[in-house]
Amino acid sequence: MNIETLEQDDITVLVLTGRLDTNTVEDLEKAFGAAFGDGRRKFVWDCAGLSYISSAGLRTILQALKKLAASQGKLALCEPSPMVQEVLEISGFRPLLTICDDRPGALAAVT
Amino acid sequence: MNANFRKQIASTLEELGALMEDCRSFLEDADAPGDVIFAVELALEEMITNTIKYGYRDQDQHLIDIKIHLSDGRVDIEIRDEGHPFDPFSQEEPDTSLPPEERPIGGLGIHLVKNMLDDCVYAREDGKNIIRVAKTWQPSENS
Repeated sequence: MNIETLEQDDITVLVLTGRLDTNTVEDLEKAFGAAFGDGRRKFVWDCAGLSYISSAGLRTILQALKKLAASQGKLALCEPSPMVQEVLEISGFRPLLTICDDRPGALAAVT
Repeated sequence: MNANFRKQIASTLEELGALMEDCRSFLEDADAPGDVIFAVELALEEMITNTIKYGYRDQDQHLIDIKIHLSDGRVDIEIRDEGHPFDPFSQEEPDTSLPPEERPIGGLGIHLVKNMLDDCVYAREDGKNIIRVAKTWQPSENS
């Protein structure tokens, strides 16, 4: 998995490309943890290039949500594929998340 | 169309990663639909990760056998491991309606497999756990 970190004012955009599975969740935990550790609290995870997610990826999302909820932070996802959306739906994560059609929408949602 | 894939791996996450890549290539070469490939990978990852993490009472490496059979509109997956007896499909369902801070971490993998695949069956035979799952789809007319 490849993760690009972009900063737009006080919003941190993580552009996720590839597969979020047992063997790659650590990459996302590190990228998110580094920005969170720097005091960043507004996040957009761009999922347009995310081809796969398993429960390991869901756990990473849940941990990020818990950290942000405890510190008045915000997270929005954008452009998850239909299959990624199905995983979010079946796992019951859909109502917990802000999911936007595109990156500008997600940026606006966490502003 | 009929195609078979068979592989034996050691019980490590690295070998699971390699298995998933091989399996993806096999299914792509056979022109299986993208959402079917996604579901098969999910089944392999969730079931085998569980076995690797919780299936054994010692620190040794064990062998896991994987068989995949692809036919028109159906893929059958069989996973055999020598871990202690564990039926993943009879476990209590996680409560997916709880707010995030009250959710226990874990238990979701089996829930996903049961909901995204068909015919999830567990058996214990010859001292081994056998997990069988399938995914069916409507083949397109020109394939």
